[in-house]
Amino acid sequence: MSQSERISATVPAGAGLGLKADHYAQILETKPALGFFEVHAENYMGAGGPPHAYLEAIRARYPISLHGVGLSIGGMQPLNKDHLQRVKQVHDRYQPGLFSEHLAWSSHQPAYYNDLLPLPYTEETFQRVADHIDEVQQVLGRQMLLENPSTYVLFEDSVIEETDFLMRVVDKTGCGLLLDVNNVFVSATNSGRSASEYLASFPVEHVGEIHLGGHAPDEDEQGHPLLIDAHDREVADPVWHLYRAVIDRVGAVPTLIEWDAEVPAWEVLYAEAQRAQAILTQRQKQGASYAQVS
Amino acid sequence: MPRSAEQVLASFSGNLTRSDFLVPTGLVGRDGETSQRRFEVYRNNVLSSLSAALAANFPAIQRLLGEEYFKALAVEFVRQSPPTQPVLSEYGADFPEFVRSFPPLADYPYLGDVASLEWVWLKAYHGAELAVTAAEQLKEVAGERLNEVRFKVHPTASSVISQFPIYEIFKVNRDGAAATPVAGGGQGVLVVRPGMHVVVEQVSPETLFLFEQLKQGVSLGAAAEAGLSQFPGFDLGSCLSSLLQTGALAQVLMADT
Repeated sequence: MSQSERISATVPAGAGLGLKADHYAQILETKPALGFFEVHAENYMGAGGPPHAYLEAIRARYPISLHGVGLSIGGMQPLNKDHLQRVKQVHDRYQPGLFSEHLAWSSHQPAYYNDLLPLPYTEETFQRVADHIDEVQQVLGRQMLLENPSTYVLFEDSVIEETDFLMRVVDKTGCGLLLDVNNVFVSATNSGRSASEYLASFPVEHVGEIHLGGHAPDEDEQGHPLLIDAHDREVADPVWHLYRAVIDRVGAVPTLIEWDAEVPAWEVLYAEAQRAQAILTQRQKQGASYAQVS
Repeated sequence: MPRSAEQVLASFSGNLTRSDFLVPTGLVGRDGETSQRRFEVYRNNVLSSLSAALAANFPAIQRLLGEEYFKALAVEFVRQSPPTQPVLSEYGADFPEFVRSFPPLADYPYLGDVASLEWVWLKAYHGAELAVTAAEQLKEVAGERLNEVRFKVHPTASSVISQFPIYEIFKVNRDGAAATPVAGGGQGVLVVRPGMHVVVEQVSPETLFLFEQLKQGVSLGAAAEAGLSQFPGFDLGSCLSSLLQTGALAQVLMADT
């Protein structure tokens, strides 16, 4: 299909869903109302095959947000140039409205670990992360969004608050931020801090997208809660509560529901997206009425 | 002396796939104490997600071994050969050989060949597209020039030859085909994806021989001669037609057309 037959690339300030192979056919048949789909870049790096055929068809009808999980931006080793080129190929082919990656690392030569691993926040790691983001933005020729991580441990080496670290990266590189509200709740709970306070110091004016997902409860050997960012269930109530507060503060922002494990029937996933959409729609109406008043 | 971030991450990564339960120094929980449980979340994510990636790439092997055994085997493989790049549909090239030489599986010598067939299937599924026009093109070739014909083999086409009945084992464990008593003896299998679906066909040794000849760029006439010298009674027509039917021969290449 030629690119001119596609819908616009711009991701609207509505709700979106992660695209799952199990749902390809149903989406194309029923064409559900949805702001956008998000795909992991690494799932579309083959030369051809059904994944590309489906994504082409879905891209014709929906804007796409491209989410990288393998660039290892938070790693201390140089970026994998071959992999960055493969990300660029997917990016250029599908022309996503948004591109995001993580404040985390996943590779340490020679291994790729397939997990979003944490880094200490120091002057040294700040420089390295900023350099990596510069390189990604240069190669892709666009702004990227950097996502705050979920973490289970703290580093004794850390000397910078995560929100300050993110703010400085934004100032240095001109990137935007992807605010994962579930990650905020998970990390805050796991480190015994307040998610609301974290959000109060988060540079929300730079947020270009929000992620919401489900977490699994556990506890550590001290009996402290240990929440796992499992993306295997509905978004938890306290996370919805934090989300509503963020949207009240900043206005409507493209919002993705992440559900990557134990993926449910399409209807269940879609209901979660509609819940986010209702909050966004309500905020947009409020925004309109504020505008009328002023 | 403070450690460099490089050292911190090296220590973290070095402990992710170890089989002992060391927690890297400098990692703490909310009380400032080292926490085994917290570091285990990462270790578990790494080993589980990479085992799951192998299960997705080798579902017949998982079905044959059972989930529990497969997971243990996969974890061994991950420790020995972790992926070296982030595209997991390309992870496991060495897994068939690992299965073949894993001592506890020595009594199941067919498993390695079934794994090879699954790997070839995966490559075909994600391989490059090419329109299949060879059968149509052949109709236009004058009879006296057929011997000169060469073919462009489909980029997703591969063959696997085994001394075991891997075609049946694959079909039963991947497509849910009804299990039938499997006759002994080897099987040659051709795999290609001419459209949206991967075609897996059992073919004769003669057909596979012809496929390999044509894949090397040998002309049809020379391939037929080579076939006759290898297999008495070599039937070019039937071998060629089964290759054309699968889509393994994608396009006709003529020197001056």
